Amino acid sequence: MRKLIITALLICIALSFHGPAAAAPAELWVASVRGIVSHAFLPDSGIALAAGNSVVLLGNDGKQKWSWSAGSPIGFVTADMAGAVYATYSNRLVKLGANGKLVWEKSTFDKAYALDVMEGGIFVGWEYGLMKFDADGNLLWEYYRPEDC
Amino acid sequence: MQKVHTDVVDYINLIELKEGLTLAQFKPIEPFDVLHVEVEGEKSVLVSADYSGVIMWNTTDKYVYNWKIKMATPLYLTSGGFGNAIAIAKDAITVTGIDTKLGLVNREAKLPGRALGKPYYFGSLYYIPVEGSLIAIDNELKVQKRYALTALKGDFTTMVMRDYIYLIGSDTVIKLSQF
Repeated sequence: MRKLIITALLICIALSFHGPAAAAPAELWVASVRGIVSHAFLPDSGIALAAGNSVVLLGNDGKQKWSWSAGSPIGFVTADMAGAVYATYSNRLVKLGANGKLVWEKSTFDKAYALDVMEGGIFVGWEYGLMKFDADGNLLWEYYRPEDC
Repeated sequence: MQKVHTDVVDYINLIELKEGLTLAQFKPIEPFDVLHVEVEGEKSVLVSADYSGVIMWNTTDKYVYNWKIKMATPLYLTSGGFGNAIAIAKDAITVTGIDTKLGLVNREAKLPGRALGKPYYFGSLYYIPVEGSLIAIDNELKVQKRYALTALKGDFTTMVMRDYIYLIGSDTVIKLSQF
């Protein structure tokens, strides 16, 4: 009986120290990729990274699925709902398929300042304005900032 | 000071995406050394700029702002929606709560460590990577959650996607379950 009481006391003491388990996040994975300057999430929870001269795709398990090299530093990456990845480097915009293969490449006139996918278009910002491409790489419009900016 | 912003914006135009037409221009302050543009709503955009502080633009009136808070340009500015935003000062420690409806600073606090990246608002909390941990603070600027991450050094972007928190640095991507 004494042993039972001591055991019960020990359990109570242990519980009083730890209390209810605090909800802590689990660190699911850590991936090391050198020189990340831009990132984009894909619909399947993969992450496209602009890292050095390459676009690197990490799967949702943190493992590299593919890498595509541009030969010069990648500035920005973004992704569409179909899982395609877009990237800018130098004065180029490229579309990479879900397998990491080059689909098309277009000129952006000059170095891109911004890249995003919105409203079914791929938008590239540059020094003098903005341009919109469709998913097939067709230039839909060019916007030049007004002179009084 | 943790770091000094060098990338500034010298103009803000609101563009219609279908045809690429100018809808509005932002010109209520000059010079246009804009450091942050934080969209709060369709008619409310927070702008921070050198010499001006934090300004609320209604996206309609070219030369008019709704309010201006004269303060040192923050290191980070994040909208929490529902009339709230926070600004982290350039010391990376001091956090200021802003009432974005009235244009008032409503409180100030110190973070438990230097902020390493822009706060990310999700689920009524601001997630902030700080030295050695990821914290989540509420609109009262109280730390509600804290998770030690000893490897957290350098600049990090915080994102919450689906049920996961991602911390993305220049050489590291960390995926956490939510807490």
